Amino acid sequence: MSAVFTRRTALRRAVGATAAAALGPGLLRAPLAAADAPRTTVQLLGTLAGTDARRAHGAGARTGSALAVLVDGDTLYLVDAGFGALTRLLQAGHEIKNLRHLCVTRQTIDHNADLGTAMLLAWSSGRNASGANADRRLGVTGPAGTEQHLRDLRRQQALTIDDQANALGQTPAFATYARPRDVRPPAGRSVIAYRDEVVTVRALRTLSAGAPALAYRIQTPDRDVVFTGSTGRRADLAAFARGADTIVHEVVDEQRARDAARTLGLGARATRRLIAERATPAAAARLAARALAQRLVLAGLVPGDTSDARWKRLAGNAFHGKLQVGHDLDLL
Amino acid sequence: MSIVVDGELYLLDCGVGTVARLLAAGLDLGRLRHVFITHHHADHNADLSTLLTLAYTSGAPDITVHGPEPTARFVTTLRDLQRQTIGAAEQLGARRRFTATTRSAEFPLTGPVTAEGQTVLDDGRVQVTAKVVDHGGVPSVAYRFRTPDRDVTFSGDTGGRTSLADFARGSDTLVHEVIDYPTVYAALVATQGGASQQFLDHLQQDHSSPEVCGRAATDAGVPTLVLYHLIPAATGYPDALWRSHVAPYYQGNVVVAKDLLAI
Repeated sequence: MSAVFTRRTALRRAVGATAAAALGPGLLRAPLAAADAPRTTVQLLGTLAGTDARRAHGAGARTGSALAVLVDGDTLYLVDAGFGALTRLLQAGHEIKNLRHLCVTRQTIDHNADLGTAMLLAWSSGRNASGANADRRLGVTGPAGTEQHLRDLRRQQALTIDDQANALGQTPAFATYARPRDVRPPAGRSVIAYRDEVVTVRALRTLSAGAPALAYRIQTPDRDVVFTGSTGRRADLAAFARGADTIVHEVVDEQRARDAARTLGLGARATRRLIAERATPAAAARLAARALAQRLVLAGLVPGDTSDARWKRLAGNAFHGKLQVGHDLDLL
Repeated sequence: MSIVVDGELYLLDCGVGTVARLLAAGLDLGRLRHVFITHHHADHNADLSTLLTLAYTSGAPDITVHGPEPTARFVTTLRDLQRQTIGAAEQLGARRRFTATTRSAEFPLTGPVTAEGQTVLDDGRVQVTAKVVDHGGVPSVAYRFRTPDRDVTFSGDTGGRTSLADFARGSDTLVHEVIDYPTVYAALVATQGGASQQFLDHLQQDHSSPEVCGRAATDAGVPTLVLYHLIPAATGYPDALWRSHVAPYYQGNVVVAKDLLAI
């Protein structure tokens, strides 16, 4: 079906054959009826960082960085959309039409590969009848380069976008629908990156220079989650993260990342950068302890095939809360 | 769709989920040499940027992307779209630049490609021919892959106005897209009160009915017909129903495609 994803979206909607029908155990929970039921579901979609996708295939496959935050069962926020994020999103039973806002920590492929596709898919999930839902918008916030990324995407996918608009009458225009915004917090200070009646998202700059990155803190009515992205070694997230219930921290296993880089043929400089852009598990544990978090989740892993036991060993004993090694589709 | 010949990987189209599926299937991006795009609707190219970027950063050998317009623009824009990832790999790695290792082989939709089909690759392992099909206003082709022991034709997205019978004649397998329009229409009416006439026309005219698929397979004399690009999508729609729709027009072996199915 052509233009953009009408084949998947229209038919998934029309025939009612959503992935939710095939939900396996451990995936999305049905909304609970009790008055004190949690309003927010936080789910890891992808848990791999870096570009060494070959390390993470097979049964324990990890896909690129991505986190889903679902509020009240029908309002969906996505933090990062690395390679495979959309596959995981649908696998988990989330519906793209529920997507309210996206936040990207970094414009590299482990964090943004599925961003453009997610936006195209969300756009074409709207009704095709001319005029219907013409006021729909979808925002994406990210570090400097996010607006440029969407411009490049529109240029690259002009044929499919134009065809969806002209031949199928999709409204509004994609350029109107997709609202990217570069967020540039001053050094060491967080800013509100996004807010609506359900969530508030704050952003803190972590990496700068040629590869700017943001950490996010996502506050919903009943959850408070920090998603660090690539932090490098100098960023101090303790004040930013203090009081969050959960910290999802990108980490590197230095020794095994070095070994992996060697088998890939990465040069010494590239290997140093791969490692320097990420925190060690021990540093993540120290941060979680200082921030008084209840739970630390290691996700955004480099490399993707270090064992859970080794990650926990590397994290050491600094953090006394719940320490968890994240896997794709884990509910947090 | 992937085709493996002597351990080398050839990929046909690259829609959303392709990279995840490739990795899940254990197929090594390092073995990828050629990608063929039938047309540039996003459900056929959405993962192409990711695939080419990861192949480059993983040290894969040179890759050529074949396809109709705008394949060339797609590949050159990718260098901008993923400038941070590719730029870092170029700057820090020992490899040649992305634009030197990742090339497009866009072919114009004129000449033989519009009539009987035209060879777009012959690398000693596989010969690939392309033929123009009718998918509304978007440049679209079908491909035929001849390997030492297989001969498979893929329809791409095509309406019923032009039959693939001549192009597919002699293949051992015809992989054909299919739509059950009456079911789709009824579902659209039931769930959202219908759809715009443009959209309905597109569904009906730019995709192929089971009758079109069955007749093409019969006229081409192929022993096996694989139905793919199923509309409605496979979940909740029984294979037996597809078979019964095709049965009046084709007596051969019918396979209903699934993700990761080996044929």
